[in-house]
Amino acid sequence: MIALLLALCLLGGCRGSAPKGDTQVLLDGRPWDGAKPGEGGDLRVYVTLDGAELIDLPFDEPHTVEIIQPDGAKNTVSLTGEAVTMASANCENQDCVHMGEVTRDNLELRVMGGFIICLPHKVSVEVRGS
Amino acid sequence: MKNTRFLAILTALLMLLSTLPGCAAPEKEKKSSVGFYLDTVITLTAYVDDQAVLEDALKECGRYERMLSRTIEGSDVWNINHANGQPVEVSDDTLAILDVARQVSERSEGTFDVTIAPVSTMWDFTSGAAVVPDAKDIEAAAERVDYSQVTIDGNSVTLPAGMMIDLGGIAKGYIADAVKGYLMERGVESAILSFGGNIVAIGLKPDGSPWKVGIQDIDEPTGNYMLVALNRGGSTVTSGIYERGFEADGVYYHHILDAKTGWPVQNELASVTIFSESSMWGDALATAAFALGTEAGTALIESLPDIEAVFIARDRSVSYTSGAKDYMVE
Repeated sequence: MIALLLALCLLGGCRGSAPKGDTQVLLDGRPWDGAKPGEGGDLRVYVTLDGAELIDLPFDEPHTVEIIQPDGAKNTVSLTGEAVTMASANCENQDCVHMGEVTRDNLELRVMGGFIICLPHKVSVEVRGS
Repeated sequence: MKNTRFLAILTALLMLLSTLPGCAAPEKEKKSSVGFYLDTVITLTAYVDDQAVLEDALKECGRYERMLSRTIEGSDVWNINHANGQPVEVSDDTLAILDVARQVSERSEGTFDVTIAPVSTMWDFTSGAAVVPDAKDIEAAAERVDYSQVTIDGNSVTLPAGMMIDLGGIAKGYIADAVKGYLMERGVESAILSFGGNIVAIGLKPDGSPWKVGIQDIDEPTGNYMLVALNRGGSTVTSGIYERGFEADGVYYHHILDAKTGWPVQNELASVTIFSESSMWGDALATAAFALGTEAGTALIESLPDIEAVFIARDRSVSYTSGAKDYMVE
């Protein structure tokens, strides 16, 4: 029910609101300085919060991205160089963690294509061509 | 005389050429929009000029959710469930769903039944609470499940007091079909739309090849596929025990409930995938065929024209209806 309300909020009136200023992005365990990791690459990983892009990275490089919102909501996106997963999240339903990995092989086969979505936290991860 | 014919052929050729992709002025780009309705993540991916059409399509999903949700006050379903046995006026959409739901119930010995809400609301497969309802409560609730008690007269629907409808097993399919129609009316010719386990495609990929849909390997983590299905602009719906469920006292309770007993279906199956034109039919049939098991489920699907199915058993054996291999890679 809470998820539903959040979703309605996410998709309705709240959409398009500015990203939360205090949201922290950690890249490989350190506060991200805003420099784009690894330009180019035929496939990239786009991480967004509430529809606003936070960071994008090359699919082929191993990285860890942590998104920590002011309310304590935390998501950890893992890139191994071969697969992208929502490695962990402190959301209530864990749906995002259960959405599995996105690889070059399964990108076109997954029911959600290149997406991994954490609805309660409004975090979306998409693997797509650059 | 000859000249006229030549001109006609030339005109036809030119018209044909102008429809080829190379002649189209703006290149259509692959765009995606994501939403969440009826407890499901929806992803719309289409080759379009403007993403706005996808955002508008998501708004349509919201409109249907407010009509078909069991939990949103004032929806058609909420009104039926809270009418205390009195007739309720509903939309044509709700009527269309109830009509197909009844047909699937009648063909599946009531294993699929939209009046399942008294039992389905006792189960919680999403929060991780892992609570098994009391057997006596389930038994009592199952007695209040009976699709034949839904009375329809024009746009007015009557349900006996104490009974409840939940369109969870069919509404996603209806919305998927509706959103597909909405996008096609707006000129979209190539798209893949995902509504939970329902995949609906418009046309083929821009390169002319079919869309591919992975069917989950039951013994591997999500995203590993046992089979690959083809979609040439229809619907592909999978119901699997791995989608939602919990373990309690060493027993795995999955989300596919047998409407007659109120318990998770216990048979040899791990998943059923339905290929059809209508995703509403595919949605309801996936549940019905799963509950019936491979043998009776196959008979059900074979009795319907232009619908095919793949049954995957827990022991990994795979069974196809007569035309299903046309929808499979190799």
